[in-house]
Amino acid sequence: MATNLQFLQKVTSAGLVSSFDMNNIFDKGYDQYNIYLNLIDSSTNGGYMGLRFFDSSDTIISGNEYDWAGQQLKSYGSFDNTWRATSNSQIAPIFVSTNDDNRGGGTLIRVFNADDTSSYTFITAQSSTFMDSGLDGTKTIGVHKGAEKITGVRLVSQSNTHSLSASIYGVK
Amino acid sequence: MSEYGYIPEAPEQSFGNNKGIFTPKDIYDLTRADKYTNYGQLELIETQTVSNVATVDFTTLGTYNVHFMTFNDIHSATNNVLTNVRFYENEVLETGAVYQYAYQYGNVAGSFGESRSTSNTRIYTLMNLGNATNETANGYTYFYNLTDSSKYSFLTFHSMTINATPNGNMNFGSAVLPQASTVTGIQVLMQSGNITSGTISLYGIKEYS
Amino acid sequence: MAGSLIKIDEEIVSSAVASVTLTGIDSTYDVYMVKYNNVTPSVDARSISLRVTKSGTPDTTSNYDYAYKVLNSASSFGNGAFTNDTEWQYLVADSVGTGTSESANGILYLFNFNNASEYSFITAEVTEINSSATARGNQGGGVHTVQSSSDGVFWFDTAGGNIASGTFTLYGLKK
Repeated sequence: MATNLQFLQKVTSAGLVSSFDMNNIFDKGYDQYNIYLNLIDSSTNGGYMGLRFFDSSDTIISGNEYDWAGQQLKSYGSFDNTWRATSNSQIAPIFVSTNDDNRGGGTLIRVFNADDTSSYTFITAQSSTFMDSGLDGTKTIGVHKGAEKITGVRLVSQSNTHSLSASIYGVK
Repeated sequence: MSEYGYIPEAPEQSFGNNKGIFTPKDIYDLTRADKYTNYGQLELIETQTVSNVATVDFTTLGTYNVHFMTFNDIHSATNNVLTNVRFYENEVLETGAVYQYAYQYGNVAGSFGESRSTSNTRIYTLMNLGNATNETANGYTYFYNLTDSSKYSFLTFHSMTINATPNGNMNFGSAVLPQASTVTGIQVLMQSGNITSGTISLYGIKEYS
Repeated sequence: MAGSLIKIDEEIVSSAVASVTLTGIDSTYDVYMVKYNNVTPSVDARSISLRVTKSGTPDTTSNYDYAYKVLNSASSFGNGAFTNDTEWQYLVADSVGTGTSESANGILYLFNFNNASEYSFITAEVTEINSSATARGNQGGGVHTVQSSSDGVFWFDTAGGNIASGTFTLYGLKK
């Protein structure tokens, strides 16, 4: 009998990239998708990653249509509670402060309502990464404020490049 | 002779890519080979229900890149302690002050704050609990890269407990063992004293290439 | 190896109802998960509250405690903390709007619900558009401080309005 966390596909970047595209991963009949992101490596220390969506024509949505808020948790200092924006060009942070020593990191992104043509698309995200200063974690929420079907995700590296793999699941 | 209805040979079968006509034996054989599409990739590895133990070890991790652990009804012998995690690396328990964590906490009486460490002997995960009746810890943890020898081992977690006041307590956070190693086991223990009782379940999140 | 996330109950609201109940929590599992999508109130700026059910009936006693961090896209982050409330009022869908596509979505984990000797606990991770049309999300948890088993969760508008829409799904995690 099928049970309800259902593997859909795995996408891996072609080495270090500034944009990691996961095209046509949605529109599979689920109202929630889980993306488990495996950070493989970064070009330099630091930076962060943001998220944009692809629309039903597989066109990237880069307009100021995203609201988001995230807490950056640090093992080495006070947490950063200033990650927030409305009407922004992306959702951030998906993760923060990676290292260039191939040490890895992990993130869970939950995506709600991607298949729904008349709903906004919402996310929660939680991550754990490492830079030379120490551990960085994030707890983030966000929304794309357009009532339309979303078909994929682009993760955009800020100030460096990343190599990544992502495993995508539907929650039935 | 046909294979899965194809003559002479069927296409290669794999998860999410089954083509042809399948007999019950075909399905059985392909399932055993992990080549038949059976949905349900949250895979239970092990559940331990414990009573009066100092530590709980999970030493079968499989080959998953992502693990998920739930903690239900954890009781502590010692008052006002957190539930901790540490790792076995190649069967050797790492007890050094090498773990890092950071979490946001808040209790129902309105006290909120941050907790962090860059050099602890274990990872503080679930929020502190008391040792009186009904003072329990509950929550979940995701683990990443445990079985990858070239990577550090990362965690995220989220919990709800009753502390020694007694007040409800929540926390969420992240952690890491910043050592490139193969983790071969997860140990759960209290900050001090025994785990009086509780149920802990470990799952793997299966993926296919 | 068989999968371990098992759907137990689902309620889909397409026209306004006074409440939604997810049922089916018993001794089969220790840990349950609730997923909810596109939950909207019928009246603007209302919170959809949560109660536990005992033998199918919502528990209305003043025994709901909860705490959460508010991640807010439009202003400084905040904290919420409540004791002895008659429900988890703001935790899972807080001041949601009725404007276009304003809704609450999230994941709850439920612990100890079936245990007659223990309290019932939840964790909550929420993402929503509130009545100011901006994104926010409460991250926290709650406890129902009554030593008895709970067999479901009951969703409603504390202020007496309806739930206009939403999909609510209950899962068990194999043990």
